Amino acid sequence: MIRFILLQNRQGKTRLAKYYVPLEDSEKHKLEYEVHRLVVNRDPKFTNFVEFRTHKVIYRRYAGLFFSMCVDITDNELAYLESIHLFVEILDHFFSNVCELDLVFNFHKVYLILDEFILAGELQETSKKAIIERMNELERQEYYSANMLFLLQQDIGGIGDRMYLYALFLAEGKEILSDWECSHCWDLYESYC
Amino acid sequence: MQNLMKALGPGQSGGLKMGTRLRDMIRAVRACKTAAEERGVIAKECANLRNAFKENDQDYRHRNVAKLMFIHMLGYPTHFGQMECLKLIASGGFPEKRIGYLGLMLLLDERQEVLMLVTNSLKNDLNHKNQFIAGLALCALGNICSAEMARDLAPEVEKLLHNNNSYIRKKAALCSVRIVRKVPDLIEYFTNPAVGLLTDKHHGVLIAAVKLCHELCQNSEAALEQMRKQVQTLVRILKNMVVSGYAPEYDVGGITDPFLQIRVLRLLRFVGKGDADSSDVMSDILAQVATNTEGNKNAGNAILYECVLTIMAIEAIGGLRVLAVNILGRFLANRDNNIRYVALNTLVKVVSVDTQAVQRHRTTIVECVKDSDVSIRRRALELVYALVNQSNVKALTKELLEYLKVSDQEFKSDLTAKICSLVQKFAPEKQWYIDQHILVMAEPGNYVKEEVLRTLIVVISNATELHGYTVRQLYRAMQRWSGQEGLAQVALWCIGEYGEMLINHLNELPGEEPLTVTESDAVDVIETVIKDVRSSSNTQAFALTALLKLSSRFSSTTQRIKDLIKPHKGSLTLELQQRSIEFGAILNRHDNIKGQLVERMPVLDEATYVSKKADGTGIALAADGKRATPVVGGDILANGGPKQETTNTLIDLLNLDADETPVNEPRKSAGDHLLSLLGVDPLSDSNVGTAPSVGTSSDNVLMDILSLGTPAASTAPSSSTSLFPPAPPADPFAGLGTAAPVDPFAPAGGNAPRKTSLLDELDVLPQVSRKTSLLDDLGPAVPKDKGSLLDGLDTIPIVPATTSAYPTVTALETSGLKVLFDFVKPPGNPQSTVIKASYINLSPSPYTDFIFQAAVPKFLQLQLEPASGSVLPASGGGVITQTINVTNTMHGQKSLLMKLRIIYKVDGQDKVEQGQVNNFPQGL
Repeated sequence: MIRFILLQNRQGKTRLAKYYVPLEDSEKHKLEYEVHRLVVNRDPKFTNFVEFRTHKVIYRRYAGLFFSMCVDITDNELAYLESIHLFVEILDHFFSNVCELDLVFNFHKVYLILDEFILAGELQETSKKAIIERMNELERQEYYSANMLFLLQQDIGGIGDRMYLYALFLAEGKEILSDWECSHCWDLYESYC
Repeated sequence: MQNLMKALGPGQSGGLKMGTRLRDMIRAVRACKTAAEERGVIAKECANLRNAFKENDQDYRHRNVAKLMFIHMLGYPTHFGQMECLKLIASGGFPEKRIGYLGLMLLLDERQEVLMLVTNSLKNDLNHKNQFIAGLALCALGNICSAEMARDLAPEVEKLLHNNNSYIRKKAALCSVRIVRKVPDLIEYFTNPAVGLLTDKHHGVLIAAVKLCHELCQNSEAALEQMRKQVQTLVRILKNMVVSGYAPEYDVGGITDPFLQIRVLRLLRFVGKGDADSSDVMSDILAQVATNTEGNKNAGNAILYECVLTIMAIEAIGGLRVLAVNILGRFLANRDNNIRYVALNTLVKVVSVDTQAVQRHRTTIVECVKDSDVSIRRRALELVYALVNQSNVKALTKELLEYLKVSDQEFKSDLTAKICSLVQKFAPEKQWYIDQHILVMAEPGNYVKEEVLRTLIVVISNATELHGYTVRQLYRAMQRWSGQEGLAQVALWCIGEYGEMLINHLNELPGEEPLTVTESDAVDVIETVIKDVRSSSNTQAFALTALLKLSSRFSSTTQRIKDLIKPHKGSLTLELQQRSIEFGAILNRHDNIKGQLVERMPVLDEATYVSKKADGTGIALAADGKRATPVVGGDILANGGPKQETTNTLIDLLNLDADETPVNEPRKSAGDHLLSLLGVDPLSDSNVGTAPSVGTSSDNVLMDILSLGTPAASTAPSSSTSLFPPAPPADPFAGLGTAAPVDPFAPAGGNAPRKTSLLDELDVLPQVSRKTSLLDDLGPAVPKDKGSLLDGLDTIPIVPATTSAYPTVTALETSGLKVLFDFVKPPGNPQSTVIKASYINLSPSPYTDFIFQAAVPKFLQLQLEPASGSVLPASGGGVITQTINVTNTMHGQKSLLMKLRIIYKVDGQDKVEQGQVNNFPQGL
């Protein structure tokens, strides 16, 4: 079982931390610090596995980012290593050529992807395609309901009507009207989110 | 669609002013140059968020919670926002729920009571007709549900296992994994649906279902039995993947869904273990996987690795085993460190099954011990450790010793411990045993553990014919001494005991290099150690004792020994000062009894020591296990147990305490002994008064005291625990401690001061006897509370009170109750602490039947005095106080730690408060 997943940069800033076991905040910070210390200075030729307390950390470095998973001592290290790679591929695909900033600004989306990938500390879905499709669907759903909600709550003059149209079109999956319409609608949506 | 959103996404500024957007806040935080600046931005943002939450701002609630999550990720406290997550979850829209659940998983965990409030929303969402919303609820439940929630929501989850949407099914299956982990009673409930899912077509559902089945089998025999009937199904799943061609969706480097293959192999391993029939059914497919999977990519190797583990675990036929061992051989020769690591890891497990196969790779494995990667080294060392037997111990130990010289600092302590234990376990003869230990100890640095030293001394003491050889070897090693404590201690002990053999070539072994040492050379060694700045006070204490012993063995160096002992009279270390004064007194004034006092130690009983040691470690291990839950930083990664479990441990701990309380009783008797010891005092006074020189009569009295003293000294330790042997009365070192009361006889003085000086001596006595003799220390878990002898003397203000003011600590504070701890250190015994607890009621209604309970880890001893009352008036109108005596047997190494449970009644209703106190001041 996966105990926690960390995504840290070389400086030790945590970009994503998901815990599948309950821990105190102070303990979490300590763990993050220790795991970073463990992995950051390891030679690339070394194994991707480090024993950590009573468990082991499987980590992999992608550019300046370290993806670390803490798993049970009896778990298959190679399989988790492979799953880290799959996760990175999914992120890369979703953000099309992912970089650290994507993960910072869209941290909530990264969490959502992770929730589609791993649940209760176990692998949930192994198909990249399925997860990406799922995420797109979720995004669309969110976008649509946000617009609808906005429309219902505060109708600002004529824009509300256009928003409604826009939302409907989106729901239907049709192409959007003019650029002007788009930018206005987007402004509203952005300021709302 | 995706493209459009991406194109429009960044760079558009908000049209309306409604607080900062999430992205702006992130930018602001990123723009901060210093930590202080960042704190400022966050503080401002938090203030805004608090306001927004207070105003119950609905429109921006999900944006606010998203911000809160970011703040949480930066490591700032965000408790004030927890309720907002619940409100979002309860709201109707999908985006709100999405952020709400995300926040719930990030900001809360199963231990928070707030979580209970979300149960109902979860129930509604699980039944929601929108699959996305049901998915969100399943996800949250699977990640953070507590035992109560698991129980409440299990029927809903079970229903979803039959949902016609595969997305929901797989999530529900993993959710069930969590539920049965939390509530094992529900296993039966989930077994049939789980088996049903194994026929699913969707890989996501299959992988979750296989995991669920595994979890069920692990915890229930019945489920395992049922699973054994399904082996065919599992084999079919695996076969489909192995034989089927290219499946683009699940392909990883040319292999179809390695993750699912691994999961299935793992379950097969569990099912086939100890069951010949199912092992038989699966052996074909295992052979197929082992031969057909290509091992040139990580994914393939992962499958092979899992397959080998499975073959080794089940009741496989010989041919299959050979196949597996060959794969491991290939792994071991692989250039990739990861593969070598797993090979070593597997060989450790295989070694018990097939030692011969592993022995073939011995040279490669020994090479791995020298690898630059610590992970590989650790595994290899473990494997070497498992490989060693009587026939190859000499060769392997030689290799390891050579490697010890060049290994990294942080690896040395592991390696040293392993070498020592190998030598202890497999040494063919004693001489080799002692030689290897001297070699290890002679390595720079202090990596040899104290227990190892003790065992070594026991062995040396038993090897009577090797005494001369050993002391000479140690003497040689000491010529190149560079601060190794272990070597110094053992060498000093031996020189003290067997010093004369160093000089007179006694027991010389054939082929031993002759060594000529004079008495003053031997003392030189001790002098070097005692004057070296690197020697700890413990080593110096060894040195002082060795000097005293030598004083009777060597005649020519008496004056030098006196001179060496003398400077420590002013030592700041109590122990050294004490020894110096006492030994000085023995040397100067009591030549007539010195010979008996410093006789050679009787041969230490090896058998008792070994059994005591085993006992001790057994208990220590048990204590570790017990400690795991209550102590912070124990196995924190373990599944957070349900509350029930913690209370159980609490009760366990309380029981333990109850067991330990009798420890306190014998103290009284020890005190009695002391009193009778003191009772002799006036008598001896009069004797001294009439005959200033130490005559025969006072000698008798002296013997009286000694005989009284000896039982007193041995009662205390032996009564406190049976872990270590009671000091044999013949033991000259233990005798030393009790002999110290000799002191007051010599100097003439008034009655009163003399009495105090006697007390003074007694006061520190137990500590002396604690360290003077190694024998006393033999038990590895020596309870350090021998000072209990002193308890009888506590009331007499001998030593100026060393109490320093410790700050008052708030041990527990809840909405209705506050517990404060004040500390008093009784003088003379650093291990014990008196805690004055006061309880204050902060609520408007009075508490009745107030009971305070506390539990401590094993290294602490706890004694609760009765409380001052059981009714606590309302609103801080009164205080109940209670005294708690705590003895910290690991004083100086571990600080205090306590779990509290408070039971009381408010308006006739029972209430329980629990908490852990780990903010005790340092030095208690």
